[in-house]
Amino acid sequence: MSGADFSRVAEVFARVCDAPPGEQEALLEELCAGDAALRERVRGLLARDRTAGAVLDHPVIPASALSDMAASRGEGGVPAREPTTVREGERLGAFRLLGVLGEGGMGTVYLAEQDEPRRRVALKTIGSGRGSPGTARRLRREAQVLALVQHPGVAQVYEAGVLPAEGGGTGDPYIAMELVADASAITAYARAHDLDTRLAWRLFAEACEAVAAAHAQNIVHRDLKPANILVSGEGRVKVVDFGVARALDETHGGTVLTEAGLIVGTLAYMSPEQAQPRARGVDARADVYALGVILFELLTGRAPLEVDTLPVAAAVRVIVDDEPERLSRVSRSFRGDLDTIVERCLEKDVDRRYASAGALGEDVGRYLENRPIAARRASAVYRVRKFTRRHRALVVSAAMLFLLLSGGLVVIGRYALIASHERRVARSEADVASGVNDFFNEMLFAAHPSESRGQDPTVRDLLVRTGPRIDERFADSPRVRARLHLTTGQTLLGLGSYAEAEEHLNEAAMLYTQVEGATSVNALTARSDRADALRHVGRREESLELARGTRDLAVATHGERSGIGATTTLTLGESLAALGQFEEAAGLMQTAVEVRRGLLGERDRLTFQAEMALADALASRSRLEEAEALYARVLEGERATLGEDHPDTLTALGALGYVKALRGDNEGAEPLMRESLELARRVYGDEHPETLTAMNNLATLLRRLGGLEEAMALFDECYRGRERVQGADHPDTISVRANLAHLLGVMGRYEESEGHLRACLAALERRGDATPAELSRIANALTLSLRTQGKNEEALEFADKALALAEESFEAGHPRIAVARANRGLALVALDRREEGEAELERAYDECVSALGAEHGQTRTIAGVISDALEKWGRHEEAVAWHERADAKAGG
Amino acid sequence: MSDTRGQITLLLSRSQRGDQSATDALLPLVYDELHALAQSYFRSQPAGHTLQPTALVHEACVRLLGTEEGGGWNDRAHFFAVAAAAMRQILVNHALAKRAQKRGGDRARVTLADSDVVAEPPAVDLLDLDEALRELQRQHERMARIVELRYFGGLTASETAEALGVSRSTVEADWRFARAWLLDRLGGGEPAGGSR
Repeated sequence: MSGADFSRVAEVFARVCDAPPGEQEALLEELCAGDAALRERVRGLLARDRTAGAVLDHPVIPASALSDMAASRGEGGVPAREPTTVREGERLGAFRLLGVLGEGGMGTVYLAEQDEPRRRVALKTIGSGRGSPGTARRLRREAQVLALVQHPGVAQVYEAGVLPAEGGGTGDPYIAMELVADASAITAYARAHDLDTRLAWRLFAEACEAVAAAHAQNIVHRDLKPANILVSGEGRVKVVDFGVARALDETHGGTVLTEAGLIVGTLAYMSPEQAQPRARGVDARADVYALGVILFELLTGRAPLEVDTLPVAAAVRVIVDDEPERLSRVSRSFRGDLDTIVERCLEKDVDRRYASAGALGEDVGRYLENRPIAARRASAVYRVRKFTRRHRALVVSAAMLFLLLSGGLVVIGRYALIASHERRVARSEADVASGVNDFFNEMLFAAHPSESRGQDPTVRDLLVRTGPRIDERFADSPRVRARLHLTTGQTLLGLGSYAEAEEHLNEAAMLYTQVEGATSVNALTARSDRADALRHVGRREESLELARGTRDLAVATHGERSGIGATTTLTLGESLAALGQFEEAAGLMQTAVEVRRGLLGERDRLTFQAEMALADALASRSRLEEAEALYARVLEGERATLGEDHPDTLTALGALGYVKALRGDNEGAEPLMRESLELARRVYGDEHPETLTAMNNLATLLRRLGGLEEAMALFDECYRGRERVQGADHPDTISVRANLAHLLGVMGRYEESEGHLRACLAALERRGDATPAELSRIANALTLSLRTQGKNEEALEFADKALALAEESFEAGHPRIAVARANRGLALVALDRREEGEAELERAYDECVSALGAEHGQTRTIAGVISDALEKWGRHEEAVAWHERADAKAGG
Repeated sequence: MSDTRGQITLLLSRSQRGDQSATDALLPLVYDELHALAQSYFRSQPAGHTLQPTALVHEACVRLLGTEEGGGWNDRAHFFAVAAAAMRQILVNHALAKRAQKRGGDRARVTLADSDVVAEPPAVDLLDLDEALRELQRQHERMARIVELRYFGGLTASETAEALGVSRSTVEADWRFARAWLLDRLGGGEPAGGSR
């Protein structure tokens, strides 16, 4: 729409919009006087006006924006403004041109100087007349998203946009990025320096690491090729043009391939999924494919598929259909792992490729250190598996359909389980006694001579108070600062002051990265501990991201079977578990346990800690027997080596009690849990997160055993403590609040209960990272509370959600699903939808029998509920039969 | 604080006289202030769900110009204009960061029941709105400014009229058209003819 059109449209709109609806049409007709396009345009806008509602009338700042701002102080400055003019000669927008760095099919790369801030940049203009406003927007977005990746191997994009052309219309898109001194393409560099295979691999590993950093932020390059993987004069890798392909690609829809000029140069590195005419679902694995081609080229000097000489259509067919040349065919020296790594990169089936550049980088690291790689050669089993996968998908969708028709649950407090180990691992790197070295002590005590006596709280106060002084006191010694920040951070972590710990560990990580390098054990340790701290303060997604990046780096540089490898693996496992990803977590913990057993022996404290983490993950995956055996073993070992009062022993004690309770052995659990809480109060104090966890666990058990008053008091104390210490939105606080609410409901205080539960849901929503398991749990409790208040329709609504969520988060047959279903059955019964309700309850009963056995309390509770319903419906005989099932227990 | 205040008053008056560099210098200051206010608001009211920009913009005005009346009405109106632009950038930056986080996120996101959940985020995609607004600006500068002031600055029609030195009826007519125009843009490919 041209400018003239716009004012005409606006004018007519203004005159028609206030006319009574009945007269608008005639008026429109008159004003447009035969200009059908104008009339249609105004008519469309009038329709928008009528349906506009309040969409733009009430600006709000979403809660998530506020919380993000609170969490990310200082980030996100004013975005760079777009250049406004392009003049002939020396200038291009806000850039002074100094020379040309390169020219290609896509456009020109200038050496330029930016006006503000004044710096030298590589200024890339793309194509000619390609820039639509859409391109500008995408380029800007990509540039700003990419700004989130901070990695020395990723060239920073300073800004991007579209230069307005003279005489209106749109001009060329441009990107201003970090200048890489004396850059050459990675393959050219390897050739020019006559690198041997090993050095080429090193370079390649660096490229993987850089791309992995972007993948960790879910940013995919989509156009990796040697020209985009530069090596500076100093021999450092810089990956350029992230996101550019995506921004441009979208402009042209799926038709890029026909535009030979734009695409031909890069076809050789394009993955099959990108090369297909209707490319879709391109993810990190497309980059893995390109990296594979580049690796092949680095090693052999040629491409695995010959496409450069082919017409586009033929090239696409080759990429999609033809098997790439095997590396081992080029030279026998490439047989074995090398061959396998490249093969895995170049798989046509994306699922067979490395999942990301990080995973590829890990294997490259293993290869470089002569350790066995993770990738396996394709086998005959592969095809069978592939079929099974497809088959399973069918089964799952049938299950989902069923879920839509069903829905419900009773709260079982097992969250604390996860929380309790987290704390333990926090201690792992953080033994208060051993972490504080002489120098550190001296500083502390000199600073506060009057406070040098005392116990934990005093130590904590001291650390919190002296912590900020580290930087001024040792301004000129980054190594000392690094050490002190690390020790302080680890100590605070052990003491449960997670937020303060996180700040110190962040400092330590940055300082160690500066003085010892990002791959040093100290830098990795600081990052790993910081991931722990982030998890404890509830920033779980950040924690996971950091933990994964750190572990990738540690494993790539030190190997999985190293101390730091095991520590970072464990931290990653904990971060995953905190987000409910227990399966991957359990695998990692198993690895960490094996490594530590091998390195440290069976009875080392760190080995015990890894075993505890593993047991937690097993428990979370319902492998309760294995978990209990492992807890018991660890408890015995810790009692013998660390003593009865040691915090680690204490944690094992609580965990063993907990898993016993989970298995239904409430009587066996109670004394263990009471002892655990008593010890925790003595060792940690009343408000330490570890004590609060023990409190929550005991209260949960007591509730089940019928000690409702005592349970209520403990839940209440725990909730208040957590809210004070950890904040209202912390997952642990939400969890205990839900427990408190549930108990209030059980005791008939429905309104209070409902209020707490709705507050929990709101808090989870605010967090934005709630797992289905967490949501399911609250929805369930709410179901109960609503039903007891007679709000049956709403109860069923939540019951549906709760069951669907439970199915989503637990494997089929898990008791929590059965309980959710039972709750849904009850909601249906309350609505007098008898048949559905009865069927649901019976199904829940069957599930419970297979999961827990007929004599388990929960199973019998469901039987009792069914009996009551039948009795109410006048089916006495059946009711009696169910009543017997409810009574079915060998002993009281 | 008083230094900043003096600086801001000075920049405001230079900016009003048409000094573009003063406007450029002003924006980051106001941006930071709004950002800091948003943070403190969030910390003090953990249960707060959403927030009207109006509150932040007015408070920023008080903090940066002294009283809300401080510095004369012209300063204040002009300040609102700058603040609205800053608020727009804050929200757009936030949306960008969110987008980066969400992209490719593999965990299923669960929709909770409607009745008890905190207010939904704005129904419009801020990034799209931002882009559409740039386009509107190219067509009709004043309309775009009006939308910025009202939507991102939370100003009423009268305040907007004062800030821009036009009549209130002009603001209302422009707003009505701009809103329909923007919604049409944001509606994507669907034909604008029928009602939904």
